[in-house]
Amino acid sequence: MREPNTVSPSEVRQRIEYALPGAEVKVETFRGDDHFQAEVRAEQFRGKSLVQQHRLVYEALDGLLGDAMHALALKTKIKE
Amino acid sequence: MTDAAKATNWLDTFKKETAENRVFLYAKGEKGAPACGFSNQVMQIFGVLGVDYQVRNILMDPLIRQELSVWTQWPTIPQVFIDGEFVGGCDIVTEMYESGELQKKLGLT
Repeated sequence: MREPNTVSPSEVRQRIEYALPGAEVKVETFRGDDHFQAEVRAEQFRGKSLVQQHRLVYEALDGLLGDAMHALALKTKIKE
Repeated sequence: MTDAAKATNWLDTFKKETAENRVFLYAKGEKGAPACGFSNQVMQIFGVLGVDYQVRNILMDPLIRQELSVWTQWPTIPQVFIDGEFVGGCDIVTEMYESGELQKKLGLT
């Protein structure tokens, strides 16, 4: 039985993939299981500023951040 | 003071302090005494660039983070404003620093 209020890297990845169909998503934990590192490559980022790109990812993780996910180090790239 | 009245205080404060200070940082901890690695990273970058910046420690009142996140549509801390514009968090400021875009935005290059 998993501790309440935790989330796995694969769950985080699936959420992002669901919100950004076709995106290449890599998610890992580092420094404990509530610090996450993610790299997201998506076509949907084209023409968007970094802030807008990151917001798309944050919206996909709505409710997790600051709660089950203490921190997320995020890198976004435009998928050609 | 009713909750509503109290709520608007922070929003008015955000607007004022981000307009009045060229570089403004919402962080966990005080200037020079960050309480979180990500806030520290941003302070280190500003230190290396010799940037004059002001800090509000969001840990002083839980309402700060709550209302700030609604205003900027950004759930995490730290948050950086330059020339009154929301620039992003630690990842974006670090990426801008590495690409030189931050230095350009601050008129250092």
